[in-house]
Amino acid sequence: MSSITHFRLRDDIDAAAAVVAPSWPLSSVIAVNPLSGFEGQPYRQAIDRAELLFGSRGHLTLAEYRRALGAGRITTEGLGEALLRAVPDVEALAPVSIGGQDVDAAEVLLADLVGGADDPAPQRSLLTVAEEADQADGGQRVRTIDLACAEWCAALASGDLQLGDADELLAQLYDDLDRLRVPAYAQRRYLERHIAAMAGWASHLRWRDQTDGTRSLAAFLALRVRAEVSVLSDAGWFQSDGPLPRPAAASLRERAAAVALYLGAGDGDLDAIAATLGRLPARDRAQIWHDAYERAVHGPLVAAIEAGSANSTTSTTAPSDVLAQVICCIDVRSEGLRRNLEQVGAYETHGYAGFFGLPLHLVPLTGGSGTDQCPVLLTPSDTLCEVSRPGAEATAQRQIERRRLTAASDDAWRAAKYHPVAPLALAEGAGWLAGPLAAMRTAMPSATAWIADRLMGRGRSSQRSIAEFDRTSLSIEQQATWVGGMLNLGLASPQRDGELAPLVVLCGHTSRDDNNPAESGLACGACAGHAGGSNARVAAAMANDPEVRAILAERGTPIGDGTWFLAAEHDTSTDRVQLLDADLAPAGHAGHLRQLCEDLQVAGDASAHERATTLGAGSVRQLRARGRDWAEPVAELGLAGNHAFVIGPRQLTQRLNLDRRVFLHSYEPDDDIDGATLGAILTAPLVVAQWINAQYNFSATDPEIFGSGSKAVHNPIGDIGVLSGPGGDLRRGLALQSVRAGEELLHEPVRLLAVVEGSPHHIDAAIDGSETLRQLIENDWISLVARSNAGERFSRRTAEGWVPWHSGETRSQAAQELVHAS
Amino acid sequence: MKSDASTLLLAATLVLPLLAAVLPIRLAGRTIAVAALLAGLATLDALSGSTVEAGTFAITGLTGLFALLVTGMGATVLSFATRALRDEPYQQRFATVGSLLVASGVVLATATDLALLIAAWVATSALTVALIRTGPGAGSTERSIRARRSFWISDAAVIVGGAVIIGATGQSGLGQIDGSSIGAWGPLAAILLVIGAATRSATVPFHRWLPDSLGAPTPSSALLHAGVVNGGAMLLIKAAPVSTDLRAGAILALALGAVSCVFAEAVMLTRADVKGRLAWSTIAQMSFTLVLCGVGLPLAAGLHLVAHGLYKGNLFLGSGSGVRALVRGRTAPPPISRLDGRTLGLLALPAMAVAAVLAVRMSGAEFTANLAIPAFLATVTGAAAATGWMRRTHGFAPRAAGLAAASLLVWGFVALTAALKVRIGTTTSLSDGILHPALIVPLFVALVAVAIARNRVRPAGSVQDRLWKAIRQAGQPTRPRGQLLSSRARATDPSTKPLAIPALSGSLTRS
Repeated sequence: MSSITHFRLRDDIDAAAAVVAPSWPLSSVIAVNPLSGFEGQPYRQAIDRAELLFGSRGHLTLAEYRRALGAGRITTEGLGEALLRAVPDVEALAPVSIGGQDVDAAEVLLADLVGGADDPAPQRSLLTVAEEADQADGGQRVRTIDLACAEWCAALASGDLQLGDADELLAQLYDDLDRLRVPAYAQRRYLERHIAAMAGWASHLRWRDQTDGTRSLAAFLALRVRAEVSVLSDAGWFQSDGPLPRPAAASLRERAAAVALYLGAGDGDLDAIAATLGRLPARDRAQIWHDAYERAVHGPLVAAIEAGSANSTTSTTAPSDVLAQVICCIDVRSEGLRRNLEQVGAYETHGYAGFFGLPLHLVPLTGGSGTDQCPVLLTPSDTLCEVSRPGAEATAQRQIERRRLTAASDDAWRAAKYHPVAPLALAEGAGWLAGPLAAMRTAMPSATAWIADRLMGRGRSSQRSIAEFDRTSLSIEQQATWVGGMLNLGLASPQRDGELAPLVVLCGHTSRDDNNPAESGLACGACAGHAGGSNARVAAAMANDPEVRAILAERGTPIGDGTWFLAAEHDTSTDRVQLLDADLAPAGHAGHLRQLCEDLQVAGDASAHERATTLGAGSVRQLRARGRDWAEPVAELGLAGNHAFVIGPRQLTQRLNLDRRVFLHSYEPDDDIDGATLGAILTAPLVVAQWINAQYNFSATDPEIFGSGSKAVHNPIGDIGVLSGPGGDLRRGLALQSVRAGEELLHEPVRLLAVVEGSPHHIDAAIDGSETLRQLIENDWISLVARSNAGERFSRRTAEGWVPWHSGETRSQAAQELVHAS
Repeated sequence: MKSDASTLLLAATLVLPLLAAVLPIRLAGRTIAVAALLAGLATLDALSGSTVEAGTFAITGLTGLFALLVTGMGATVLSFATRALRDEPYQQRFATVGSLLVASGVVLATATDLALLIAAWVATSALTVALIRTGPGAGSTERSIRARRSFWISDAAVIVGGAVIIGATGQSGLGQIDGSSIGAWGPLAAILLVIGAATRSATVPFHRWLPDSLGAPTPSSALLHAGVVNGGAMLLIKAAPVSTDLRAGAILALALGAVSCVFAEAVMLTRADVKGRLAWSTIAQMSFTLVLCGVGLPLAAGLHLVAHGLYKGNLFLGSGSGVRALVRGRTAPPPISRLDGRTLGLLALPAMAVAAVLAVRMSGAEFTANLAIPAFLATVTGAAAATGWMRRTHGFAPRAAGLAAASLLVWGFVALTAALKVRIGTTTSLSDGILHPALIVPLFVALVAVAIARNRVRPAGSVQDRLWKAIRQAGQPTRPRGQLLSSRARATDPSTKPLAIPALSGSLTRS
């Protein structure tokens, strides 16, 4: 094999790998768009292509959309508008004569949408040779290949196997592709089919390769193709580069029959109906529904923001009247807490990425390897270790020793469990305790958790702060820059003379869900799936540091002596907020702190009350107990329901109840003369939000292929992921229970809408500067609407440029007419 | 002494699970919880010396514990599934099948008539298959087909074996059957019963059904591993005079159990998935109980069954908790011990041995093999745990405290076992075995050898390397052969042959 071939094949493998997104391990679950490799293509084309490769569904079924119509989530008017957008000349079409009466073509098409025949289930149609051979004779070759490959992956992942020589494997793969008669030009696409056939493990291997620089995916493909060659003998070889014929969509004839039934037409009218239906390809119908659904979800938000600013009474409360300015994570779950807190008292809330802009690796007081506490897009710039605070050395040491003892008891348990003979008695000895314990945890989860907390010394949260992160390795300038990033959110805008409230609360978030291997997926995504409290503590310590403040004052963003930065952590499973290091605050803030504590409690209760209603938990108490109940499959909804990302001052959304479904990022256009801040928001937090949105969407539309299926059969495999049952492909994406409850959708799959109050020029500049952002916007993976000033109407950024968001409105009259006619 | 109240308790324990089968899942769980409570009371009564009987059912110390295990875990699992399987379309079916399975388990535990026992056995087989099928539709046949086939063997063996016993002795009451009266038919009956039991206990070579069943929902697995697989050893204990008290039965149980225990242990070491490890560990543990039955230690076997069921049920229900433990390990102070594990282990071993011997002496029980083996195992376990503890801690006080705590646990465990054995031994007549209990020692040696071999560096291509690859492949979830193939395709399909690819290319060495 020549070196050119060698490099070409390697490039082919790398390119083919893009059909799956990397899958992060369970200890740090990161939401990814399973189709991130398709973002270079327009959205629609991408989900079509994915259907060929995976047999996946990128939207809901027609039946599900119709249920949404029945439930009033989509209106007939909205559907009519969507139809007009898809078939702009629908009104120019000749009317159809049904039973002697003329019926508008639009009405016939609407009837097809609402009552027409459904499309067949999607099917994988870009097949490997072995799959084709199996289809031809009903063999089991693919199962054999899959079993061998899955076991190989499991062995590799558990460290039980070392990769062979990369060059040899490539040569082997090259020979085997040759034996299958796959021509060089088609090899990349052929390898895509193999990757798609075992997408879960391939995703894991992609993550492995990008993390430690191995070439495990290449080895996997070499193995897979070798397995294929060996099971095929001479049963077949590569035939064509194209897909098999897709399962036929509902035929015109079927659709016409259904429409005739729906409209009460006779058999004689079928031909005329079919002729009109010909204007609308069957597969476009789901797209129209999808469009209508998105408008139904997004329309009210945009309208409410516009209406809010129209009768704007934005009373710019002077920050001195505000008890605290609270900076929360942009995570949609912060919205409930922020809204309720604002209603309880004089609070100003802001949204910022929950790692507070600190790209750090943090090692806790108790030691260990520590965790990356920043989005996976970033690499931590520094490592900070937690050390005991002066005067609290003894207490800190006691805490370390306590932790050592719990670690030692873990070790003792493990030593007995992994001993060759001991398990025979361990099972017997531990059984007498384990059985009653299991019964207790199941029958009385809250009480058991309470006892466990007391035994572990938790619950009695010590009021004294005993440790801090050692920041000596960081320059004061760097720290000032990071703190400045937070001040930029509009906390200290020039027109207020840079005045801040007495307290600025930095509120990270975390979650607790017992017996859930994907628990980290509920924690802060901006902190790489970890709790955000530590970041808040580091950021607050920086902002309270007199040296940092001195530099900030030099830079023109002073922090007054009367302002104290306070860290907090929001537990999203209970909606309780815990203040961290509160005892360090100067005595003058004691009253403020007491008030803040009370208000946070009231706001948290209100927020939990709202969630108890949506989650179907009987009461707030029951809802809060869910995280500690090992039998409970959904402790909280996570980011389910997310559909929009608002970038702008809080005034945009202040009076709105956004139902925990919108990311809120604070942004002051007036403070951002050069657009750098907006550019940073669009290229980092917005992109991450899109990953989250896409993961939820695709897990909801196809819970088996893009989601990880039901939790009931999950079988965790180390830290790597979960299997469904004893083996097979690794699962990726969200569990069924996170996106659906029976027939009900917990997450409505609609693409993310970014709503920006800021200069369109700055947005264009950001799009020009970032290929990722350009693809997302111009290929319709997200829609972005913007306006420069309150009072203006929103425009939408498309591939062609800026168009009015309300483009449908000019026609909505027509749409209404056509609906009323039917 | 016969107690009327206890008769009522027993009758209610039998009836309530049947009632639960027609109730919605929430109520079903509670109903079975009541049954568990009643079974507990009846067991206490039996342990205090009363005769608890109702028709052809009776609760003794040991069978009472069986009934308590089945109802207790049944109630826990149903209550768990009330939440865990919420919104799953098969939730109610799970409740119905689960309740019926508990009902048949209680009959199996308490029946005193062989014919009745066999009927419950067959019902348990059918219900177990139904339980494994309950769950996500995809793969429901695949995960249950091996169970169906194995249980077919199991049912046939037990029915024929039972018929031989009843025919040869003319007795069907388990209390009346006398092993000596069966004559020449004895070995056949014993072998059939052991085969039936081994199948239910997922012992080699009938073990595949258990790992295959992992595709069923978590609560189903908990119920299977806590309540169903025990049926095998339970049968042997109850029918000991015509199974393991006879030489053929004893030898077969010992041989099957020992081979299976070592094999399952080896396979378990190669599995990375939580449930796979649990399933293979169950196979090893059930094989161990078969060994105990074989060497004539039915009491030790019975207690092991019950405690293991409780243990494994808990681990299955909590199978999603491992990741947090892993993360927790990343924030712990590193081990700083200067003493190595061997030294610490040698320190711990005598302490545990003293605790175990003290417990036996204080209980006043006879130091027979029925107690010696658990005492020995507890000593080893305590020493292993104490070593683990002492490697992470430093200084005298925490280490001494750990050692003391481990000793106390060993003492408590041995004392409890001794007390239970005294109580059960005086209330249940159990005969001595025919094989010498010391025959169990080679099993322990073999288990240690497997663990040592696993941790050795294995050069690629060496015998050891190939052996471990074979073991790993033995643990692979495979499809049941011939299941979906048409006969025509089977004739030509090369994939039904073992795959001759280097399925695990590269060297199987520990890094």
